[in-house]
Amino acid sequence: MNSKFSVFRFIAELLAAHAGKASPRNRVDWARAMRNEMHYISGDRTALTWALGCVFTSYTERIIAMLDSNSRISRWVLSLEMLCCFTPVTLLCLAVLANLGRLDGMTGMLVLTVAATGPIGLLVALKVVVLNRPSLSKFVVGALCILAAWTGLAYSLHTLFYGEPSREWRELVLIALLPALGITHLIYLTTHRVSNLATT
Amino acid sequence: MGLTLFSTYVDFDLMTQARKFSDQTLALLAALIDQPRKWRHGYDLSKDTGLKSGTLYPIMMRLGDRGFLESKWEDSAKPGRPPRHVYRLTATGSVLARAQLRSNQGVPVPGHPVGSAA
Repeated sequence: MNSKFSVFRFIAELLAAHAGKASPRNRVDWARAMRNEMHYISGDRTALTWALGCVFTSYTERIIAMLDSNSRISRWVLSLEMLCCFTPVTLLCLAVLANLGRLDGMTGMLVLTVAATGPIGLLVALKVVVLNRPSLSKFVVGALCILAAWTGLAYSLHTLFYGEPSREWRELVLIALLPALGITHLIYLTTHRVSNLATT
Repeated sequence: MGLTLFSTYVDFDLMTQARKFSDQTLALLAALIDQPRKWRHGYDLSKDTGLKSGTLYPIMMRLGDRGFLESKWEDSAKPGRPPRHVYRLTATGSVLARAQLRSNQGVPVPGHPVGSAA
């Protein structure tokens, strides 16, 4: 290292320090290693190139860490999202249960299976939120998929053949679309493996 | 630069599936396997392989993440200088390096003439 002051060396020091700050937490040691290594490079211009590499690496690692952390979500937000997705269909389920006597057997059972997505989805969501994203068994994932598909299909067909789609699209969103989205997100959260590149 | 970055990151996502490594990774493995038990400095590896720090370190990070590369801090012999990170292949890493370099024999690796590694 040259003993006299060098602009290149000065900039390299600044860049390496910045790289250390920009680095994600799991790469702090590596950023420090790169910065320290720069002190053993004799050429100032070479040190500057090295420092640029430090910045590039830190930024890239930061982006990777950010992409990975995007798949995480706070419990409160997830709770709110799951309530929005499953509450309307749960209310429908409760209404069906309360009026089960008034419906004929077959229709009652049919509507009940459609509306069952609500309480089942809420229970699974509760488990995911409380236990902080446990992995779901293939059976549960399969059951949720079938339920969501059945709810979507049955309610869409009902709206198409017996209702007025132009007037009932809001119900279609609340009863069929939102639970399907909620279930999709639940399955994504519990099956998506966050890369350990950025989290270890 | 774009392709180098792509190959650096994609390579390691596919590492467990025994896919072909990038030339840069092979160059690093070749440099490390030359003296498998010797601890190497990052700058020395950079000079040996011809890789810039922005390419070399992400590769080493991923090798380290997967247990193929071990590292430790080494105090400087000269006072006033900061400690350095030193690296060498683990036993698993050596096996991987030999296998990869063997399967890529004849492929020119930056910094290493054909057939000189492993």
